[in-house]
Amino acid sequence: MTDRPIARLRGVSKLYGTTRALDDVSLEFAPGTIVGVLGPNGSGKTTLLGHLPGLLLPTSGTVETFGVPAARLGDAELARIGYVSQEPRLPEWMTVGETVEFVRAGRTRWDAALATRLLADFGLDPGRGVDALSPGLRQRLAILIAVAPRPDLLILDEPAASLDPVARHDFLRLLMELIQEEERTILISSHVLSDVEKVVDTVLLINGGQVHCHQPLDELRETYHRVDVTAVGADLPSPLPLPGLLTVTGDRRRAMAVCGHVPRHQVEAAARALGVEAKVRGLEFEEIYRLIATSDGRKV
Amino acid sequence: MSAMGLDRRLLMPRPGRLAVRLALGVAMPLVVVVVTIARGGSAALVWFGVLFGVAQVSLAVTLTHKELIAAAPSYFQPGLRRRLVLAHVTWALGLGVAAALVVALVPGAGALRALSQLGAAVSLHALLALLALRLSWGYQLPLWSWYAWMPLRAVDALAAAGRFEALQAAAWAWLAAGALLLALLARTLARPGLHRRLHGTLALSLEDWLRPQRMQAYKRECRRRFTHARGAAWRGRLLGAQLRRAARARAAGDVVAAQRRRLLGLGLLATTSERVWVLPIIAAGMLAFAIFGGYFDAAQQRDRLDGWFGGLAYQAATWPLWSLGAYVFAATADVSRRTGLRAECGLLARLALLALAASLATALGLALLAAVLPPITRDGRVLEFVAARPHGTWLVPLLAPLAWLALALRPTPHASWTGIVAGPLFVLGHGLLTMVPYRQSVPLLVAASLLALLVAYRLRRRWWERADLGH
Repeated sequence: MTDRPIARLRGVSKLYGTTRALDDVSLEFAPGTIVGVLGPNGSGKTTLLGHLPGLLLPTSGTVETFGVPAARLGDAELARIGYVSQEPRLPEWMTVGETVEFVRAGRTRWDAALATRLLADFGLDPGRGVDALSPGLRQRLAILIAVAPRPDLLILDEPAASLDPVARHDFLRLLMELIQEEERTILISSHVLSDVEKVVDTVLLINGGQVHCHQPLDELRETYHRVDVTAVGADLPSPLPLPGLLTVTGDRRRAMAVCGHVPRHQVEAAARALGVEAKVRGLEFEEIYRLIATSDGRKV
Repeated sequence: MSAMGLDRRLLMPRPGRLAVRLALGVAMPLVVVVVTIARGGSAALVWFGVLFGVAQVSLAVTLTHKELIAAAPSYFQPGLRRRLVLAHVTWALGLGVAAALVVALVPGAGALRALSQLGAAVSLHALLALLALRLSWGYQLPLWSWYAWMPLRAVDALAAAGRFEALQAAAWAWLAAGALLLALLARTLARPGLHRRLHGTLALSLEDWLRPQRMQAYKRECRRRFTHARGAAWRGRLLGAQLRRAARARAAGDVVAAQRRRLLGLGLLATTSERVWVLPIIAAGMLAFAIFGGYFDAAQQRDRLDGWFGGLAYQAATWPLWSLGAYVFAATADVSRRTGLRAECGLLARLALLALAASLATALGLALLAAVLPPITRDGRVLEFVAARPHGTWLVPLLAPLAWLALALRPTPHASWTGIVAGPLFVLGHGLLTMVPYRQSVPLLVAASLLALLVAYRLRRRWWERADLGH
């Protein structure tokens, strides 16, 4: 694995009229990482992903993909990218088979065996017209077209949004398979956190166009701790003297606190020193997401 | 893909549709060419006919390419831009050579020069391809191109005055223009800007007007942009007033009026652009059209009941009828069947009145032009501006039931159909009033209108009885 990032954003801001979709974003994506891009609706995920292949150009700042400014990506670089958007537009007059052939004819790399297998796995009939496909089947075809060239950078913007549970399971299995190739970088945005959690090794949390967190998932899990405290005798002190205290909910007898950015043993020691009944455990991924997504821009 | 990099799929995209477009685009010019030659007539007409055929083929090819560029995988296809450039250069030269051959082979082409014809065909292909790729409404160009036949007599007059020969003799100028425009087209296709802008958008073709799914998707995409906060202030105020009245009517228990107001508001949004500069441009275009038409009709000296060209200015007054279709079907399913039908009938009556008001304003505008415009001298003749007689004033409201019938008979459940029908209907009605004495044409139009009203009402009532409602 090389150290050179596969994509790099420096001070990127994007304005749509007066709306700031991205605000001074600086990031690097290392090769071989599987990044889950998360955030509430309208947080700037699609805008961020659109900048990497040069589909969107920044209002200010620079974006480089494969070491080339994204605005000037040539055939060689674009051929190394696979991209699936939320609502993929496909040539409506073609059949599924013709669409696959059309894309294959223009690609230098193409895994024919994978394409054939995915056609069967996804239940895509090569003779069926694209205009007759349901949104779910259309999404499956778009995924097939994006992964069959075995791209070095695979960008998936809400790829599973219109897939049924069975198709989503197949898709996740496919992702697991693609992950096996170490040099491939995958960026996947999704609202289905349980899916993301299964496949990603790094999490990028974005809200209001700003990056709130970009770190490995395991590291993120160790960053936050949930402390359930119950008073024994006297009421709980207020505020709770816990290190890295971020939020507290409850009353004077029972409370749930979240601490962050301190080692777990420090939190446990502080909880013991309170002389109360305390249980410390790591936060679930969904809880971490909620904590950051509802922080209104505060550093948590 | 061949060794030259020419891709058959790009060179002949959608061969079936191309064949249909070729048949349509070439049939009419062919008839013109044959008739012109049979009459020993104008080389200008041959020239015009051939270029019209070129335009139809160019637009068919380019609009399919536009759909391909907009498709999600295309942006990532290595070499696609280069192959598109090659395909267009091939088409431009092929059409140019074909046009030159027509001139060389067809007897009676007279003053036409093969090289000029080649240059003109290449120029036209490149120009139309650029327009079709760049304009969001480029899919309408094949339709608007038919209006190019309207000033045909002017081309004929040009030939009669001997100026056409001079135009043809400047072959180098045609070739230079062709090379320049083709280079511009190649540059546009080769650079990523166009591909970036079109990626993931819904690029329509003319035939999509008859495909409900595509048009509904297009309407949805357009509707995302419709917010009453955008565009000219008057547009927002008008919509706000309609929606406030709708809310008041609903609060008062008058659901029919509420639905009618809502449809009127939405129709207003759909038929007026949020771009502030569009309406002034359209207004200026209509004014230029009316002025040109008034003088043109004066020059015709034909025994007609009315000026033909100037009268077409009344077509602008059919705008409320266009809006009839714009939202009537798009947002009706969240009311009861009875309310839906009653609101639709009420809306029709009000739009007919609105059309009447627009016609009166047109008549007033034309009378004003006749009062202020001076006579002009053309080829030694003094021409007085001829304002079309105001029969259009009542022709337009008579079209309301016909537009409603078109909507009820529509082959597809999307709104543009009314607009497509209302325009030609006006031309037919206006033609009838111009060519046939009033005592015959007026009863005919009134009878057609009443019949249309009856049939449309029955069809719409049946539609509402069977419609799937969204609640």
